[in-house]
Amino acid sequence: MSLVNYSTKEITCKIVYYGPGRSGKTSNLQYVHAFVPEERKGPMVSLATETDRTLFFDFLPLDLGTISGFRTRMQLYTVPGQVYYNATRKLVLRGADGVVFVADSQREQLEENMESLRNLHENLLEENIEPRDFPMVLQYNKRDLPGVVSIEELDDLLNFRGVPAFPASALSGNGVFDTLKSISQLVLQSLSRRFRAPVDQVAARGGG
Amino acid sequence: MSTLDLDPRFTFDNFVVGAANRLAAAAARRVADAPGAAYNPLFLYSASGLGKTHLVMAIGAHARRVHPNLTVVYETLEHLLEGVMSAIQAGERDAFRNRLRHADLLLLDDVQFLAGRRGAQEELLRAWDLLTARGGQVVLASDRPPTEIDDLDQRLLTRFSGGLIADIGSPEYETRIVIARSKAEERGQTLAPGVAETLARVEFTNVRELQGALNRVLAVQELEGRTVTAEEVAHLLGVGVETRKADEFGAFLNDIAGAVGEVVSGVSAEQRLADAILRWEGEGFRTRRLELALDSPVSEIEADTLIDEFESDVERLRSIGARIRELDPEAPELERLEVLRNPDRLHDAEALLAAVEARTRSLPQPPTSPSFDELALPASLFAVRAARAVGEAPGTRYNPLYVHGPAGAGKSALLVALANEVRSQSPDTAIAYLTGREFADELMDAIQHNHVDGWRSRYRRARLLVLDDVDAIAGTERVQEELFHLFDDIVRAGGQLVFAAEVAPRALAGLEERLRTRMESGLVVELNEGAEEATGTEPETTGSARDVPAWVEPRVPVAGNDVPVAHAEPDLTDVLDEAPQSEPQLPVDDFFRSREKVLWQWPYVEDWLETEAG
Repeated sequence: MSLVNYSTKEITCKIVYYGPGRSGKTSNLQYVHAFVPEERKGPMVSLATETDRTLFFDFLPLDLGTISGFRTRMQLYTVPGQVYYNATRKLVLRGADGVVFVADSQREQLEENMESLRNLHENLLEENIEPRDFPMVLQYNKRDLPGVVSIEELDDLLNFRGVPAFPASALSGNGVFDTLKSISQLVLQSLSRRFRAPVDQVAARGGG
Repeated sequence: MSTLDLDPRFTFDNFVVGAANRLAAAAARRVADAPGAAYNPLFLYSASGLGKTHLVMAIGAHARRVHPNLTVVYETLEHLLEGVMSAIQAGERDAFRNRLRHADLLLLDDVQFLAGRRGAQEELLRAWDLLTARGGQVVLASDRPPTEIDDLDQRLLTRFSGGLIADIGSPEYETRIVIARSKAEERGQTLAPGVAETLARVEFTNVRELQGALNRVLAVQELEGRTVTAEEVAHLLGVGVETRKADEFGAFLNDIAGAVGEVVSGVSAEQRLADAILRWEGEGFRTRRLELALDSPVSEIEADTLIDEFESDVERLRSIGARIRELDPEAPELERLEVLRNPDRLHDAEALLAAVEARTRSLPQPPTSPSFDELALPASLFAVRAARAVGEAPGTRYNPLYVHGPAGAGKSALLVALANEVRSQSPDTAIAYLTGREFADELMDAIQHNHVDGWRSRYRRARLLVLDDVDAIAGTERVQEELFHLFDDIVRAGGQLVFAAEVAPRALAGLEERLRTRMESGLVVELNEGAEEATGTEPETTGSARDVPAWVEPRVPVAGNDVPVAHAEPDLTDVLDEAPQSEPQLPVDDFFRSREKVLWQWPYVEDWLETEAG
């Protein structure tokens, strides 16, 4: 749950990188981590298995500094992609303000992409979050590999909501910040809308 | 004292707007269009050379044009203070306020120099209130946000933060190109293709540097009458034009600054309140205070203050809950959610905590010495033997034990010895040892702080209550009432009470009858002045229970009609039979001289006689 605190002048958002195993979620965070000035970031926490796959999650806290008078912070998380870590995925997803779905552009990974996207929707619904209203962007990763599926085909398969989608090569950094920028803006817009809604919401439940 | 003039070169028309300054520029325009109507104050901040002063002056110029009758005052803080100092030296006491008195729109630049200047801050505060009370608009510019101005008066900080705070970031590449082109146009020149782009790629830290570099290019064009090419720019500037290091994070920040601005600006007081209501309701707290505010018109500052206070109360409620849990995880007070989740009942929550603290506070303990062995009283004294008997089996005989005697007779030492005996025999026994004055004072404090229940619960835990100098409670009503109930509670729980006073209960003026009868219901013994002197020389003991006057005979406790008499008081002979057999028996005649056994001075004998005579 993002937080805008007018008293302490703070904004905090949580963004989760979701997707199948080995699609490049951790690479996204590592790239961001490498480009953030030291004073703006906390240590990146990665809990990985002995085979170097993310077991629990990665966590990268970012301090965007004071923007418009508000201390703005973002917390970036990844979930473990492997099917059997669904409990962890649900846990990490809890309280998220937006999701980056990192898809693997290789043809042999298409099924895993779709399965992971289905799993994301299920988990969001379990958290009583309507996926259609939830800030989300797609990232078609590994565009630098030969013989990858075309953007159009990936759009057809995965982007039925018509959310912003970005081609990327997370290892070299292409598209990483574009993706982060897009999801950040969506989350902030969603926050902005949230502030327009509650007056009616409070009034509608009988004025307290 | 002269004011500073606005620089006519700085207008909105020639201020290049990009992602990094969009919010600041939009807010500035709005303020200039309708001073005092929105964003009051407008606080602009940025690093040097990014356009603060340009925007501030543009506001002034635009406002003067749109509202010709408006008095616009532009000042830098340093200039203002210099002028004020001169005026004060010339004898003008209210120079600061006079200087700003007529301003409808005050544009104050470089306010970061307020840091540590308490006097100037005070003056500004007063002038500010006068100005805003008249509906005046304030625009401030600084190289840092208000919260980062060192040693800034909290009241000023609140005022600075009460409107809109907008920062101006470094312009991104595209904006730098536009700046280079527009500045060239202002000078009536055209840049060759690629020159603006090349300039924009140079590592400039601010717009002024970019403008300086552009000026060199333009000067060459003007003076040499030729067009500078993109390839020449690096050589001309004497620096290597490196492609700007991939500052993707910086670009990212610039790009989302506008989105953050969208979130935090233009959110009304009602929206902030409603958001806080929903958030705290979700956390399970009552939000009535905020709901009431939502139904009445409040300013943004008031709303923020209200929310701030509300959240501070919520924090206190949370810490109270945590403290109660720490003191007593099973505390029934933890169930009082109607109090612990209602910031409007913080006072009650504090009382709950105080009650738990009072209840769980350790009982006042007796000194560790003397023990009976260390006592400077003869072991054979009747009072000592009675106390020892009580100490060995508290709650089972002579309950209460009431020791009276003049000051210095050794009553306190005897009571401490008794308590220590109980402590040594069963260390887990809850012992409370205090004077009547302390007992009364504690109760008064509990009444004053609304935690009598906790105080009462605390003493109910005692299984040995030793009250020295109980005379002090004579004449009190509430203290006696509490002691009366406590007496019954402790007796009912099988505990022991021990009292000491200078006189016997019936001689204690101002002692309520119900308490007096209870104090007399166990064993009343006298410890006289001569007791210590008599140590070892004139052992005082009685031969048998039959010799004991009737008023010291043990009785079954009568602390309440429903008191179960689990242990009938043993006959006093139990005590007396334990007396060392080797001790000599007193001659019968001496018995009547014993101050320990015989009441020589009858209290209020006149009253009695009057009553009898009547």
